[in-house]
Amino acid sequence: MKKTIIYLLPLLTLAMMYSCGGDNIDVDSQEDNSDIVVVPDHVLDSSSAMNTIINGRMFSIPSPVQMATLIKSKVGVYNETLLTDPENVANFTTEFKRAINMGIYGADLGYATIYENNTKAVSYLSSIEKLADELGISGAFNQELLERFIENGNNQDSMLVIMSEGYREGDKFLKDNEEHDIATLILTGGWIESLYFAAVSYEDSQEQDVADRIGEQKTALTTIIDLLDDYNADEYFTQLIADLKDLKVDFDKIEFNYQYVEPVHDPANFQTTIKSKSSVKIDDDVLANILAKIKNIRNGLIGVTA
Amino acid sequence: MKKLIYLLGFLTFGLGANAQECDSLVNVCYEYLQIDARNGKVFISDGQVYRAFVDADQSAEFKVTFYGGSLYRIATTAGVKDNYVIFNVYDQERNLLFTNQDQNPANQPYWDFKVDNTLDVYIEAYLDIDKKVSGCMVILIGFQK
Repeated sequence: MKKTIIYLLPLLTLAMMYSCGGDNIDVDSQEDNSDIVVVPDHVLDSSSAMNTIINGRMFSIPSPVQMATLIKSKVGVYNETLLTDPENVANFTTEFKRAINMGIYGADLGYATIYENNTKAVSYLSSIEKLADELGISGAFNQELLERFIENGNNQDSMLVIMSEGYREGDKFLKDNEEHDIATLILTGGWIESLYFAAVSYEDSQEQDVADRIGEQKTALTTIIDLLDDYNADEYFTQLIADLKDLKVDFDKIEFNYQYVEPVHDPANFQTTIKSKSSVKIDDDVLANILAKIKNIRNGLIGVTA
Repeated sequence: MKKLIYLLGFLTFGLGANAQECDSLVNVCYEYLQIDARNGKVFISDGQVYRAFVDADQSAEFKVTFYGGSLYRIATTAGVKDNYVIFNVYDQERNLLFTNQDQNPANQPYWDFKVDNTLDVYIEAYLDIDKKVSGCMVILIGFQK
Protein backbone atom coordinates (compact mmCIF):
# COMPACT_ATOMS: atom_id res chain seq x y z
CA MET A 1 0.00 0.00 0.00
CA LYS A 2 2.82 2.42 0.91
CA LYS A 3 4.41 1.86 -2.47
CA THR A 4 1.11 2.65 -4.15
CA ILE A 5 0.78 5.91 -2.24
CA ILE A 6 4.38 6.87 -2.97
CA TYR A 7 3.71 6.51 -6.67
CA LEU A 8 0.25 8.04 -6.65
CA LEU A 9 0.72 11.10 -4.47
CA PRO A 10 3.18 12.90 -6.73
CA LEU A 11 1.05 11.98 -9.70
CA LEU A 12 -2.11 13.27 -8.06
CA THR A 13 -0.32 16.46 -7.08
CA LEU A 14 0.98 16.92 -10.59
CA ALA A 15 -2.40 16.08 -12.05
CA MET A 16 -4.12 18.64 -9.81
CA MET A 17 -1.53 21.25 -10.77
CA TYR A 18 -2.42 20.69 -14.39
CA SER A 19 -6.14 20.31 -13.86
CA CYS A 20 -6.52 23.52 -11.88
CA GLY A 21 -4.21 25.56 -14.01
CA GLY A 22 -6.81 27.01 -16.35
CA ASP A 23 -5.98 28.05 -19.86
CA ASN A 24 -2.54 29.37 -19.03
CA ILE A 25 -1.22 26.03 -17.98
CA ASP A 26 2.56 25.74 -18.06
CA VAL A 27 3.03 22.99 -20.58
CA ASP A 28 6.68 22.64 -19.65
CA SER A 29 6.20 22.27 -15.92
CA GLN A 30 7.25 18.63 -16.11
CA GLU A 31 10.74 19.67 -17.18
CA ASP A 32 11.02 22.01 -14.20
CA ASN A 33 10.96 19.10 -11.77
CA SER A 34 14.33 17.48 -11.35
CA ASP A 35 12.76 14.10 -10.66
CA ILE A 36 11.34 12.18 -13.56
CA VAL A 37 7.77 11.22 -12.82
CA VAL A 38 7.01 7.56 -13.31
CA VAL A 39 3.77 7.37 -15.20
CA PRO A 40 1.89 4.08 -15.36
CA ASP A 41 1.91 2.28 -18.68
CA HIS A 42 -1.83 2.51 -19.21
CA VAL A 43 -1.63 6.30 -19.30
CA LEU A 44 1.16 6.15 -21.84
CA ASP A 45 -0.64 3.60 -23.94
CA SER A 46 -0.67 5.01 -27.43
CA SER A 47 -4.09 3.54 -28.09
CA SER A 48 -5.69 5.23 -25.08
CA ALA A 49 -8.83 7.24 -25.62
CA MET A 50 -7.24 10.69 -25.74
CA ASN A 51 -5.25 9.89 -28.83
CA THR A 52 -6.18 10.12 -32.48
CA ILE A 53 -4.42 6.80 -32.92
CA ILE A 54 -6.35 3.71 -33.88
CA ASN A 55 -4.54 0.39 -33.76
CA GLY A 56 -1.25 2.26 -33.65
CA ARG A 57 -2.01 4.47 -36.65
CA MET A 58 -3.01 8.10 -37.00
CA PHE A 59 -5.25 9.18 -39.83
CA SER A 60 -5.41 12.20 -42.07
CA ILE A 61 -8.15 13.21 -44.47
CA PRO A 62 -7.59 16.02 -46.97
CA SER A 63 -9.38 19.32 -46.48
CA PRO A 64 -12.29 20.07 -48.87
CA VAL A 65 -10.87 23.59 -49.27
CA GLN A 66 -7.97 22.20 -51.30
CA MET A 67 -10.34 20.59 -53.80
CA ALA A 68 -12.41 23.79 -54.10
CA THR A 69 -9.21 25.75 -54.69
CA LEU A 70 -8.14 23.40 -57.49
CA ILE A 71 -11.57 23.55 -59.13
CA LYS A 72 -11.55 27.34 -59.07
CA SER A 73 -8.07 27.48 -60.60
CA LYS A 74 -8.80 24.90 -63.32
CA VAL A 75 -12.51 25.27 -64.04
CA GLY A 76 -13.16 28.79 -62.89
CA VAL A 77 -16.93 29.02 -63.11
CA TYR A 78 -18.94 29.20 -59.87
CA ASN A 79 -21.62 26.52 -59.96
CA GLU A 80 -24.24 26.96 -57.27
CA THR A 81 -26.05 23.78 -58.33
CA LEU A 82 -23.13 21.86 -56.83
CA LEU A 83 -24.13 22.98 -53.38
CA THR A 84 -26.69 21.59 -50.94
CA ASP A 85 -29.55 23.56 -49.45
CA PRO A 86 -28.37 25.18 -46.20
CA GLU A 87 -31.96 25.24 -44.96
CA ASN A 88 -32.15 21.45 -44.71
CA VAL A 89 -30.94 21.28 -41.11
CA ALA A 90 -34.35 20.30 -39.75
CA ASN A 91 -34.34 17.22 -41.99
CA PHE A 92 -31.26 15.81 -40.30
CA THR A 93 -32.82 14.06 -37.34
CA THR A 94 -30.21 11.44 -36.46
CA GLU A 95 -26.68 11.89 -35.14
CA PHE A 96 -25.35 10.17 -38.26
CA LYS A 97 -27.18 12.56 -40.61
CA ARG A 98 -26.23 15.62 -38.56
CA ALA A 99 -22.56 14.71 -38.44
CA ILE A 100 -22.20 13.71 -42.07
CA ASN A 101 -24.09 16.80 -43.24
CA MET A 102 -22.05 19.03 -40.98
CA GLY A 103 -19.07 17.85 -43.01
CA ILE A 104 -20.96 18.37 -46.27
CA TYR A 105 -21.95 21.91 -45.23
CA GLY A 106 -18.33 22.57 -44.31
CA ALA A 107 -17.23 21.70 -47.84
CA ASP A 108 -20.02 23.90 -49.25
CA LEU A 109 -18.88 26.69 -46.96
CA GLY A 110 -15.34 26.28 -48.27
CA TYR A 111 -16.52 26.31 -51.89
CA ALA A 112 -18.69 29.43 -51.39
CA THR A 113 -15.83 31.17 -49.57
CA ILE A 114 -13.26 30.32 -52.26
CA TYR A 115 -15.66 31.75 -54.86
CA GLU A 116 -16.27 34.82 -52.66
CA ASN A 117 -20.00 34.24 -52.34
CA ASN A 118 -20.08 35.56 -48.80
CA THR A 119 -23.86 35.59 -48.43
CA LYS A 120 -24.03 31.90 -49.25
CA ALA A 121 -21.03 31.19 -47.03
CA VAL A 122 -22.67 32.85 -44.03
CA SER A 123 -25.86 30.84 -44.55
CA TYR A 124 -23.80 27.62 -44.43
CA LEU A 125 -21.97 28.76 -41.34
CA SER A 126 -25.31 29.51 -39.63
CA SER A 127 -26.52 26.00 -40.47
CA ILE A 128 -23.24 24.50 -39.27
CA GLU A 129 -23.68 26.37 -36.00
CA LYS A 130 -27.11 24.74 -35.57
CA LEU A 131 -25.81 21.27 -36.39
CA ALA A 132 -22.82 21.76 -34.07
CA ASP A 133 -25.23 22.71 -31.30
CA GLU A 134 -27.32 19.61 -31.91
CA LEU A 135 -24.17 17.48 -31.89
CA GLY A 136 -23.03 19.06 -28.61
CA ILE A 137 -20.01 20.87 -30.05
CA SER A 138 -21.40 24.39 -30.02
CA GLY A 139 -18.15 25.62 -28.44
CA ALA A 140 -16.42 25.11 -31.78
CA PHE A 141 -18.95 26.92 -33.97
CA ASN A 142 -20.54 29.67 -31.94
CA GLN A 143 -21.92 33.14 -32.48
CA GLU A 144 -18.50 34.70 -31.88
CA LEU A 145 -16.94 32.65 -34.68
CA LEU A 146 -19.82 33.56 -37.00
CA GLU A 147 -19.34 37.27 -36.22
CA ARG A 148 -15.59 37.06 -36.84
CA PHE A 149 -16.28 35.32 -40.14
CA ILE A 150 -18.65 38.11 -41.21
CA GLU A 151 -16.28 40.85 -40.01
CA ASN A 152 -13.51 39.41 -42.17
CA GLY A 153 -15.74 39.26 -45.25
CA ASN A 154 -13.20 41.17 -47.32
CA ASN A 155 -10.31 38.85 -46.48
CA GLN A 156 -10.71 35.38 -47.94
CA ASP A 157 -7.63 33.95 -46.20
CA SER A 158 -8.94 35.09 -42.82
CA MET A 159 -12.36 33.59 -43.55
CA LEU A 160 -10.80 30.24 -44.43
CA VAL A 161 -8.60 30.34 -41.34
CA ILE A 162 -11.64 31.08 -39.14
CA MET A 163 -13.60 28.28 -40.79
CA SER A 164 -10.77 25.77 -40.33
CA GLU A 165 -10.43 26.95 -36.73
CA GLY A 166 -14.04 25.91 -36.08
CA TYR A 167 -13.52 22.46 -37.58
CA ARG A 168 -10.21 22.04 -35.74
CA GLU A 169 -11.83 22.96 -32.42
CA GLY A 170 -14.69 20.57 -33.15
CA ASP A 171 -12.25 17.78 -34.00
CA LYS A 172 -10.33 18.43 -30.77
CA PHE A 173 -13.50 18.52 -28.66
CA LEU A 174 -14.86 15.31 -30.15
CA LYS A 175 -11.58 13.46 -29.66
CA ASP A 176 -11.31 14.77 -26.07
CA ASN A 177 -14.73 13.32 -25.44
CA GLU A 178 -14.05 10.04 -27.20
CA GLU A 179 -16.60 10.81 -29.88
CA HIS A 180 -14.27 9.67 -32.63
CA ASP A 181 -17.21 8.32 -34.62
CA ILE A 182 -18.78 11.78 -34.92
CA ALA A 183 -15.41 13.34 -35.79
CA THR A 184 -14.93 10.71 -38.48
CA LEU A 185 -18.39 11.28 -39.96
CA ILE A 186 -17.79 15.04 -40.20
CA LEU A 187 -14.50 14.47 -42.03
CA THR A 188 -16.13 11.85 -44.25
CA GLY A 189 -19.00 14.18 -45.21
CA GLY A 190 -16.58 16.95 -46.15
CA TRP A 191 -14.46 14.60 -48.22
CA ILE A 192 -17.44 13.10 -50.10
CA GLU A 193 -18.83 16.55 -50.89
CA SER A 194 -15.45 17.74 -52.19
CA LEU A 195 -15.26 14.66 -54.40
CA TYR A 196 -18.76 15.45 -55.65
CA PHE A 197 -17.59 18.97 -56.60
CA ALA A 198 -14.75 17.40 -58.54
CA ALA A 199 -16.98 14.80 -60.24
CA VAL A 200 -19.50 17.32 -61.54
CA SER A 201 -16.81 19.87 -62.41
CA TYR A 202 -14.95 17.25 -64.45
CA GLU A 203 -18.12 16.25 -66.31
CA ASP A 204 -18.72 19.91 -67.17
CA SER A 205 -15.14 20.85 -68.06
CA GLN A 206 -13.29 17.62 -68.97
CA GLU A 207 -10.33 19.23 -67.20
CA GLN A 208 -7.68 16.50 -66.84
CA ASP A 209 -6.15 17.98 -63.67
CA VAL A 210 -9.51 17.59 -61.96
CA ALA A 211 -9.77 13.94 -63.11
CA ASP A 212 -6.25 13.32 -61.79
CA ARG A 213 -7.14 14.88 -58.47
CA ILE A 214 -10.13 12.53 -58.22
CA GLY A 215 -7.80 9.59 -58.85
CA GLU A 216 -5.40 10.87 -56.20
CA GLN A 217 -8.10 10.37 -53.55
CA LYS A 218 -7.45 6.64 -53.28
CA THR A 219 -5.41 6.96 -50.08
CA ALA A 220 -8.09 9.16 -48.49
CA LEU A 221 -10.79 6.67 -49.48
CA THR A 222 -8.87 3.79 -47.93
CA THR A 223 -8.33 5.84 -44.76
CA ILE A 224 -12.01 6.72 -44.48
CA ILE A 225 -13.11 3.10 -44.92
CA ASP A 226 -10.63 2.02 -42.23
CA LEU A 227 -11.87 4.72 -39.87
CA LEU A 228 -15.55 3.96 -40.40
CA ASP A 229 -14.88 0.24 -39.97
CA ASP A 230 -13.14 0.93 -36.66
CA TYR A 231 -16.10 2.92 -35.31
CA ASN A 232 -18.93 0.79 -36.64
CA ALA A 233 -19.64 -1.07 -33.40
CA ASP A 234 -23.32 -0.05 -33.56
CA GLU A 235 -23.44 -0.79 -37.30
CA TYR A 236 -24.84 2.65 -38.14
CA PHE A 237 -22.23 3.06 -40.88
CA THR A 238 -22.64 -0.34 -42.51
CA GLN A 239 -24.40 0.94 -45.64
CA LEU A 240 -21.98 3.84 -46.09
CA ILE A 241 -19.00 1.50 -45.67
CA ALA A 242 -20.50 -0.88 -48.27
CA ASP A 243 -20.98 2.02 -50.71
CA LEU A 244 -17.43 3.25 -50.18
CA LYS A 245 -16.00 -0.25 -50.57
CA ASP A 246 -17.89 -0.54 -53.83
CA LEU A 247 -16.35 2.79 -54.89
CA LYS A 248 -12.92 1.46 -53.93
CA VAL A 249 -13.32 -1.42 -56.39
CA ASP A 250 -13.02 1.19 -59.15
CA PHE A 251 -10.32 3.20 -57.39
CA ASP A 252 -8.24 0.02 -57.20
CA LYS A 253 -8.16 -0.04 -61.01
CA ILE A 254 -6.40 3.33 -61.17
CA GLU A 255 -2.71 3.14 -62.04
CA PHE A 256 -0.27 5.26 -60.03
CA ASN A 257 3.34 5.78 -60.95
CA TYR A 258 5.88 7.24 -58.58
CA GLN A 259 9.56 8.01 -58.99
CA TYR A 260 11.71 9.29 -56.15
CA VAL A 261 13.77 12.39 -56.87
CA GLU A 262 16.04 13.87 -54.22
CA PRO A 263 14.33 16.81 -52.52
CA VAL A 264 15.88 20.27 -52.36
CA HIS A 265 16.27 21.86 -48.95
CA ASP A 266 16.26 25.58 -48.22
CA PRO A 267 17.20 25.81 -44.52
CA ALA A 268 17.26 29.62 -44.53
CA ASN A 269 13.54 29.65 -45.30
CA PHE A 270 12.68 26.45 -43.41
CA GLN A 271 11.46 24.91 -46.63
CA THR A 272 11.94 21.71 -48.63
CA THR A 273 10.85 21.24 -52.22
CA ILE A 274 9.73 17.68 -52.90
CA LYS A 275 10.79 17.00 -56.47
CA SER A 276 9.58 13.39 -56.81
CA LYS A 277 7.57 12.66 -59.94
CA SER A 278 4.19 10.96 -60.10
CA SER A 279 1.36 10.33 -62.51
CA VAL A 280 -2.16 8.91 -62.48
CA LYS A 281 -3.74 6.84 -65.23
CA ILE A 282 -7.53 6.33 -65.15
CA ASP A 283 -9.40 4.54 -67.92
CA ASP A 284 -12.49 6.34 -69.15
CA ASP A 285 -14.90 3.60 -68.09
CA VAL A 286 -13.36 3.45 -64.62
CA LEU A 287 -13.65 7.22 -64.26
CA ALA A 288 -17.27 7.12 -65.44
CA ASN A 289 -18.07 4.47 -62.81
CA ILE A 290 -16.35 6.52 -60.12
CA LEU A 291 -18.24 9.69 -61.03
CA ALA A 292 -21.60 7.89 -61.03
CA LYS A 293 -20.93 6.22 -57.68
CA ILE A 294 -19.74 9.43 -56.04
CA LYS A 295 -22.89 11.25 -57.11
CA ASN A 296 -25.12 8.43 -55.81
CA ILE A 297 -23.38 8.27 -52.45
CA ARG A 298 -23.46 12.04 -51.96
CA ASN A 299 -27.08 12.44 -53.03
CA GLY A 300 -28.10 9.61 -50.72
CA LEU A 301 -26.42 11.32 -47.78
CA ILE A 302 -28.17 14.65 -48.32
CA GLY A 303 -31.52 12.91 -48.88
CA VAL A 304 -31.78 13.31 -52.64
CA THR A 305 -32.58 10.09 -54.46
CA ALA A 306 -31.24 9.61 -57.94
CA MET B 1 -10.83 -0.61 -1.70
CA LYS B 2 -8.48 2.27 -0.87
CA LYS B 3 -6.30 1.26 -3.78
CA LEU B 4 -9.32 1.50 -6.02
CA ILE B 5 -10.15 4.99 -4.72
CA TYR B 6 -6.56 6.11 -5.33
CA LEU B 7 -6.62 4.64 -8.80
CA LEU B 8 -9.94 6.28 -9.67
CA GLY B 9 -8.62 9.58 -8.34
CA PHE B 10 -5.54 9.26 -10.45
CA LEU B 11 -7.49 8.36 -13.55
CA THR B 12 -9.83 11.31 -13.06
CA PHE B 13 -7.10 13.87 -12.47
CA GLY B 14 -4.38 12.24 -14.52
CA LEU B 15 -6.28 11.81 -17.74
CA GLY B 16 -7.85 15.24 -17.31
CA ALA B 17 -4.38 16.67 -16.90
CA ASN B 18 -3.16 14.96 -20.05
CA ALA B 19 -6.10 16.28 -22.03
CA GLN B 20 -5.51 19.79 -20.71
CA GLU B 21 -1.79 19.63 -21.48
CA CYS B 22 -2.69 18.58 -25.02
CA ASP B 23 -5.27 21.39 -25.28
CA SER B 24 -2.65 24.01 -24.43
CA LEU B 25 -0.18 22.50 -26.86
CA VAL B 26 -2.70 22.60 -29.71
CA ASN B 27 -2.81 26.38 -29.27
CA VAL B 28 0.99 26.57 -29.18
CA CYS B 29 1.23 24.47 -32.32
CA TYR B 30 -1.41 26.54 -34.09
CA GLU B 31 0.77 29.62 -33.57
CA TYR B 32 3.41 27.96 -35.76
CA LEU B 33 0.91 27.78 -38.60
CA GLN B 34 0.19 31.49 -38.24
CA ILE B 35 3.69 32.75 -37.45
CA ASP B 36 4.29 34.15 -40.96
CA ALA B 37 0.78 35.48 -41.55
CA ARG B 38 2.00 39.08 -41.37
CA ASN B 39 4.28 38.35 -44.29
CA GLY B 40 1.31 37.10 -46.30
CA LYS B 41 2.18 33.45 -45.74
CA VAL B 42 -1.12 32.12 -44.40
CA PHE B 43 -1.52 28.41 -43.73
CA ILE B 44 -5.01 27.00 -43.38
CA SER B 45 -5.33 24.07 -40.99
CA ASP B 46 -6.69 20.87 -42.51
CA GLY B 47 -9.16 20.92 -39.60
CA GLN B 48 -7.64 17.93 -37.85
CA VAL B 49 -5.67 17.70 -34.62
CA TYR B 50 -3.03 14.97 -34.55
CA ARG B 51 -1.82 14.22 -31.05
CA ALA B 52 -0.56 11.43 -28.91
CA PHE B 53 0.63 10.96 -25.37
CA VAL B 54 3.93 9.19 -25.86
CA ASP B 55 6.93 8.02 -23.89
CA ALA B 56 10.55 7.52 -24.85
CA ASP B 57 10.14 4.42 -26.97
CA GLN B 58 6.94 5.41 -28.74
CA SER B 59 6.40 7.27 -31.96
CA ALA B 60 3.34 8.42 -33.86
CA GLU B 61 3.03 7.95 -37.58
CA PHE B 62 0.43 8.86 -40.13
CA LYS B 63 0.00 8.92 -43.87
CA VAL B 64 -0.90 12.11 -45.67
CA THR B 65 -1.42 12.86 -49.35
CA PHE B 66 0.45 15.99 -50.42
CA TYR B 67 -1.08 17.35 -53.62
CA GLY B 68 1.07 18.63 -56.46
CA GLY B 69 1.36 22.41 -56.76
CA SER B 70 0.69 22.95 -53.05
CA LEU B 71 2.69 24.38 -50.18
CA TYR B 72 2.24 22.67 -46.82
CA ARG B 73 3.46 23.41 -43.34
CA ILE B 74 3.94 20.70 -40.72
CA ALA B 75 3.98 22.12 -37.19
CA THR B 76 4.84 20.18 -34.06
CA THR B 77 5.17 20.79 -30.36
CA ALA B 78 5.48 19.04 -27.03
CA GLY B 79 6.18 22.18 -24.97
CA VAL B 80 7.24 25.80 -25.30
CA LYS B 81 10.64 25.89 -23.60
CA ASP B 82 12.51 23.82 -26.15
CA ASN B 83 12.03 21.97 -29.41
CA TYR B 84 11.10 18.54 -28.10
CA VAL B 85 9.70 16.83 -31.18
CA ILE B 86 11.71 15.09 -33.88
CA PHE B 87 9.77 14.53 -37.05
CA ASN B 88 10.70 12.73 -40.24
CA VAL B 89 8.91 12.74 -43.58
CA TYR B 90 9.21 9.67 -45.82
CA ASP B 91 7.82 8.93 -49.25
CA GLN B 92 5.88 5.76 -50.05
CA GLU B 93 9.13 3.89 -50.72
CA ARG B 94 10.47 4.92 -47.33
CA ASN B 95 13.01 7.34 -48.77
CA LEU B 96 13.68 10.01 -46.17
CA LEU B 97 12.53 13.33 -47.62
CA PHE B 98 13.17 15.46 -44.55
CA THR B 99 14.10 15.38 -40.89
CA ASN B 100 14.03 18.35 -38.55
CA GLN B 101 16.63 16.72 -36.33
CA ASP B 102 19.69 18.08 -38.13
CA GLN B 103 18.33 21.53 -38.87
CA ASN B 104 19.41 24.76 -37.24
CA PRO B 105 17.90 25.14 -34.70
CA ALA B 106 17.78 21.41 -33.98
CA ASN B 107 14.27 19.94 -34.00
CA GLN B 108 12.92 23.06 -35.73
CA PRO B 109 9.21 22.88 -34.77
CA TYR B 110 7.74 23.75 -38.17
CA TRP B 111 8.82 23.31 -41.76
CA ASP B 112 7.31 24.05 -45.17
CA PHE B 113 7.02 21.59 -48.05
CA LYS B 114 6.60 22.74 -51.62
CA VAL B 115 5.22 19.81 -53.57
CA ASP B 116 5.81 19.54 -57.31
CA ASN B 117 3.78 16.34 -57.86
CA THR B 118 1.21 14.55 -55.74
CA LEU B 119 2.59 11.90 -53.42
CA ASP B 120 1.72 10.01 -50.27
CA VAL B 121 4.05 10.75 -47.38
CA TYR B 122 4.48 9.19 -43.97
CA ILE B 123 5.04 11.60 -41.11
CA GLU B 124 6.77 10.01 -38.15
CA ALA B 125 7.10 11.98 -34.91
CA TYR B 126 8.61 11.20 -31.53
CA LEU B 127 10.08 12.94 -28.51
CA ASP B 128 13.76 13.85 -28.36
CA ILE B 129 14.60 11.78 -25.30
CA ASP B 130 17.54 14.01 -24.44
CA LYS B 131 15.00 16.73 -23.76
CA LYS B 132 11.77 15.04 -22.71
CA VAL B 133 10.91 11.47 -21.83
CA SER B 134 7.14 11.53 -21.97
CA GLY B 135 4.25 13.85 -22.65
CA CYS B 136 1.68 15.04 -25.10
CA MET B 137 2.85 15.66 -28.65
CA VAL B 138 0.77 17.68 -31.09
CA ILE B 139 1.11 17.92 -34.86
CA LEU B 140 -0.86 20.20 -37.17
CA ILE B 141 -0.84 20.37 -40.94
CA GLY B 142 -1.62 23.55 -42.81
CA PHE B 143 -1.72 24.37 -46.50
CA GLN B 144 -1.59 27.55 -48.51
CA LYS B 145 -4.61 28.32 -50.64
